[in-house]
Amino acid sequence: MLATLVDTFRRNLRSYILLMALLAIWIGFGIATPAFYSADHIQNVLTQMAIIGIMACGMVFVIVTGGIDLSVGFGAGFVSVVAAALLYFNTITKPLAALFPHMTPGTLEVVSAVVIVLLCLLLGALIGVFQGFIIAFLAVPPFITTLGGMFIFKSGILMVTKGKSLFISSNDTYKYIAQGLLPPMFGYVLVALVAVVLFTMVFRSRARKQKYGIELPHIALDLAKAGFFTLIVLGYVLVVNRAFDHEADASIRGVPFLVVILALIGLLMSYISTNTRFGRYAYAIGGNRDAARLSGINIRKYLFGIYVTMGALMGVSGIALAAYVGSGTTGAGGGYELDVIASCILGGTSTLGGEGTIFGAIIGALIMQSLGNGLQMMNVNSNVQYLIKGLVLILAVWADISMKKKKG
Amino acid sequence: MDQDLILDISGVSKTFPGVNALTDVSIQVRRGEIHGLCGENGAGKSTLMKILCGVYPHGTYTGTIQLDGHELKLGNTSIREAIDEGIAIVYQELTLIPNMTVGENIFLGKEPRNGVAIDWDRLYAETAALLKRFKLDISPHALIKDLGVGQMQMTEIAKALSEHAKVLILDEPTSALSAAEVDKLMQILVTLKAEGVTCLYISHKLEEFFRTTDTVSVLRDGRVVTTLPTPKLTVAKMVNLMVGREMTERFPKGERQPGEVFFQVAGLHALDPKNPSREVLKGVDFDLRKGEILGIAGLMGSGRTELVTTLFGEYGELTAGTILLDGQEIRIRSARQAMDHGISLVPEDRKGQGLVLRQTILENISLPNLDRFASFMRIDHDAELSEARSFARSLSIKAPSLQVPVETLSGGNQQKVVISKWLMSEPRILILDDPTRGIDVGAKFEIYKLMNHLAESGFGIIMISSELEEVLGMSDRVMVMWEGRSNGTLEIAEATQEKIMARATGIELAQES
Repeated sequence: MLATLVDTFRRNLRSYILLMALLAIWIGFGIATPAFYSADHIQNVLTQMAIIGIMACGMVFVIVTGGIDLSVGFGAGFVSVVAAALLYFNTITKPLAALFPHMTPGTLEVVSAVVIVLLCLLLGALIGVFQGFIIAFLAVPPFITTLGGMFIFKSGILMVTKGKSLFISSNDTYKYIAQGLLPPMFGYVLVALVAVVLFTMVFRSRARKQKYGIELPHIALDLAKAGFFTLIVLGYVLVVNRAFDHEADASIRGVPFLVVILALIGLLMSYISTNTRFGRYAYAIGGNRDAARLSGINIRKYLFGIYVTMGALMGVSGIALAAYVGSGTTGAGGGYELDVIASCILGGTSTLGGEGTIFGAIIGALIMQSLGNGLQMMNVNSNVQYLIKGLVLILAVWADISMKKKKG
Repeated sequence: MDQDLILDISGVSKTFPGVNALTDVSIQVRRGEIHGLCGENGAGKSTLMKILCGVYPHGTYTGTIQLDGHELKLGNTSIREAIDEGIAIVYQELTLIPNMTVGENIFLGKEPRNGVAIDWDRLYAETAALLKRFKLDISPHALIKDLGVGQMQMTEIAKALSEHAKVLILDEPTSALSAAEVDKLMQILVTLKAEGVTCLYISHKLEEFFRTTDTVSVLRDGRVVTTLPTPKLTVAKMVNLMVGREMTERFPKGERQPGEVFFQVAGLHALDPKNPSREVLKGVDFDLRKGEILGIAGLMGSGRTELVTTLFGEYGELTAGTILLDGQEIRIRSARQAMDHGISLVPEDRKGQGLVLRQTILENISLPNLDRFASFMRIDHDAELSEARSFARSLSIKAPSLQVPVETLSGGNQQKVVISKWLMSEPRILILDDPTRGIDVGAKFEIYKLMNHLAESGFGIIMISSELEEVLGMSDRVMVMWEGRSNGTLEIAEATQEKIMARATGIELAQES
């Protein structure tokens, strides 16, 4: 039992080390500033990292194929100011109202928010189509294409905003995307769902492994793992629902909507990475492009698809960004690309390609966000915050490299 | 010691686990001569070169090497050490930096300086003088990438000579050159000889020895068979010396009756995609029957690999010729199209082209075959695993599970993974490019048995091999390639090592049919 435990631990060493690093950061900051454990902060930290985390899910695929996307920061910023402009100038609401004069103001608000979200998703995907086409079919290196994209989208931001901030005051439905909390009841349903899914997965995968005679880890270990993750989700839901705080106002209880979006995207992308051709081919292309080509994989087609996916996720982040800050600003999204890339790398994605997980990237994003928030709460000057983030990134990669060297 | 000797290799032996790469090799090279070195693939030429340039440092081999009167003891710190001692090697693969000029390349790492700055005037003046001395018609300011392959080779030689080398080693310098470029190189070698440069000349093209060398040493199975003045040799005699060896019982003989011809290749011509002035395939004809193993023999650079990668749609485009499958002409422009026609290729470079090393056995086997298990949003892992398992089992891949990365496997097991991956794609024609290279004897035998089994069950198998014994031991017929052409197909009953070698070196030509 102990031997299998040690063995499993060793095989998943990397994810455990990452989780432990996160845990260490949380314990450290918790001791330094108790506010780190407050319901307010716990509710906020995941929302804040979601914009980065969503894009990191796409960036993992990009980096796995040996590429990079520098344009995601300003790209998301561009989408966010477009969304803000559509709301600020009532570009969608006015024609809708003219078209359907009997619509109540409430319905009109919801419908226009939905239309704007769809348009912005499309815009993100089109950005991906544009860059993906250049990278995959014109063979311009990703670094250069997306560096160019960075300038182009920055210009786009300035053209749309004309140097002003565009405030979104008219549409609360839209702001709900990043600021809304789901009813507490939903949180509990979520916990139940997670528990059912995790435990069914344990039994199904064990049954399958048994069928093929693959050695099974001890059932207690699998159950403990599922139980552990369920408990974490339960704990989170209890805290953000403020279940034990009877004083709290109903308006601050609940799981943030954006966190659920991040979780869904994370699960979807993680599923794609292991359970579809798209995911498999991405890893094969990054692992050995010649072998992939000689295996009959249409490399251009899949590279194109990966940048389109990245663009669509950039769109999602842009939509969330506008809703989160409540306005479209001239500096929107600037520098996010660095956080996104750093999250992936911290999460174990190799810049040489062929290696990396969605789960790792999301944990990486959470580590970066926790570091930032914790330092801020400790009143560490923001000049120093970047210094520390930079050192942590380098340290993490160095530790990983030296660990690999020891193993090989 | 004879004052006339510049390089005296005496009693050098080198073993690798399980193989004697060199056994008691002694070669004397006289000052100012061009000394040829020939032998079959795997005879030990490259091992000897690697010893001379310090890749295998002093102490990893036995015997002594005297250079210009003192013993050569190279560490393995860098290639610089051999250069400082006076040994310069021009490699088969060019080692120039494409975006730098001829002058910059020649003086790379030893740029003349003016204080801290590079003295460009002197660098280019010296380059010009060097090029002029050897009558090389190349501008010192030209970028390497703008040069032809031949000129690159000349630049490489000039670079070696700028080191004031005592011995210049040319390792198959003509393998990438066109006929005109070869002539030019031969002229330069004559000039060099007049300048008093000593050369060790390695080549697979036997007639070249008669154009340049004074003396030739023949290597076979890691031993020096003979060293003779070139005038005392003929190509036929050299071939005899290179292959004269006994066949051993290393090959399982299958029981099979090849069926009718179903795949025909006629008049194939193709250009080198990297050097379009060079034609790599200059007329290849052969056919393949169901249930047979067709061996393709030929020296390195004869176009064997180019032929099969072209058939697989991943090399040059055909400039002429037809490919018929079941009597229908087919066109193959990509690996996917080749697979759709039932053609599979186990590539020459197992690690570089056959496998994604970091991925698991399972992932590698199913890579070209995922379409069979996958719908748009789902891979059927159960089906994938069970099918991969049945292949792993029937090929007896030895591994703790299918979930281990292939980089942890032995060469033989890795090759079985590559073969599994291609068998799963249900090919009709399986092309194996040097399938047993770098694999130990036991695993080789298993792969031979597998090939026999596959042929018996009706596959058409094309096997390229660098080892003549393997070709003779495994094939039903042998197609010999020589300088990009097919030089006839021999029935196994009439094929001998000498006959194959005669065809591979072009001293015997197939009758036009």
